[in-house]
Amino acid sequence: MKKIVLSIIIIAGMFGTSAKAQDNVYSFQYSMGFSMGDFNDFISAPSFRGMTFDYRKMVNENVGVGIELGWNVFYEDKDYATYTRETASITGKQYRYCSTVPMLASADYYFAPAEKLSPFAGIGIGTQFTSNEVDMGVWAITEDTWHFLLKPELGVIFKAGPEVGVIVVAKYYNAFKTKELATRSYLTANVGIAWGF
Amino acid sequence: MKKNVKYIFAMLFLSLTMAGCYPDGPDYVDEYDIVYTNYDENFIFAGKPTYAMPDSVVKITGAATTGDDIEFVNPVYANIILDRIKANMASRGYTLVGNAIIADFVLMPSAIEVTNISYYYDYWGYYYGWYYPPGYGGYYYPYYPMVTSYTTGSLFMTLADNKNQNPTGKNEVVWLGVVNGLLEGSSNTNFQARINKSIDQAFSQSAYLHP
Repeated sequence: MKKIVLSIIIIAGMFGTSAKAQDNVYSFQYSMGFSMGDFNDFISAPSFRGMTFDYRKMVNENVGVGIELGWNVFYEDKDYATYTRETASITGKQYRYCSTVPMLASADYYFAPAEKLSPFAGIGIGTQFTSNEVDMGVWAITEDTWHFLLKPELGVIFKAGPEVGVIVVAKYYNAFKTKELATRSYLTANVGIAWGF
Repeated sequence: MKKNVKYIFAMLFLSLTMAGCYPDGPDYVDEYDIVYTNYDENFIFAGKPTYAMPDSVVKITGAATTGDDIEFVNPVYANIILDRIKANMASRGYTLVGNAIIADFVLMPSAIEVTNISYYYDYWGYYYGWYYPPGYGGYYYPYYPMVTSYTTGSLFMTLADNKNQNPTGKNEVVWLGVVNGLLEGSSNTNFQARINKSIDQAFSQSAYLHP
């Protein structure tokens, strides 16, 4: 996992700030998250707290490679309920929290880079730091872990000006199971500003 | 200049998304109440209908370990607790007997009160910088940490097998019920409602508890 983080840092370093603006695409996105699979069993409520920073360096007219850093907070309060394991039962109101920080090396293909409406599709590989917490009474159980992460995405950039635009993108963060935690995979719907081009 | 505008936009966007980033937690004191029960699955509860129980609730303090006199919970609260336990035991078909020697079980209620003190530097501490006059500086963490304290109470209900002793002469606890919650911000009436609800819950999640 450390190698993945290191790769991301190296890639980020490779595409320093000296490149011309036209070669780069930056974006800040507000991100809404929808948990899937095992994660949905843990917290089913959608997350409206999240954001993503994306950077791509255009290696040719259609392909951009770069990095992505995101953050989402999922939260759900469960009703007063009883949880039983073997002979022990515990009853109370549970508050469940899960913060995710995906870090990825990504590549996108821009189908019509010269157009005002520029759709793209991409993939990413990296890691996701997950901080998982269950609060019950005055007690809290916290589990922090690093997931292996794969992410396909599909989006569009609407170029409102010569170097600035609006980006809308859907991402699926497929965070694999770890020794400590089940999968923490989720779908996001992002909207934000993009600049560069 | 154009570049600056973009960064301002980016920072504004960042601030908006960060706003209210921490989710909610419990709003009311009773939302901290939890009930824990456990039992010996090899023990046969059937055919053992009597129990004995003291008329006071032992307060767990350092006194028990240092050999001082044992303290008891204020009878006003103890009676609420004892009455509710009796009502639940009766509804399960158990009979309270005065003679602890002949009883099948001894139910021993005890309670502990713990005050926790915690301190932290407010995560949003740097916002305080905004309120200083210009030139004063800013983006400082406050000099002093925030200090909070809270008191929790736990009620233990231990049901011990009174007919069998282990080789060291001790009775096995075959059922344990623990009620834990905050002891603050709650009136006496509210305390009674909360403790009654939690004791009832301890019994209702222990369906195996009947003669």
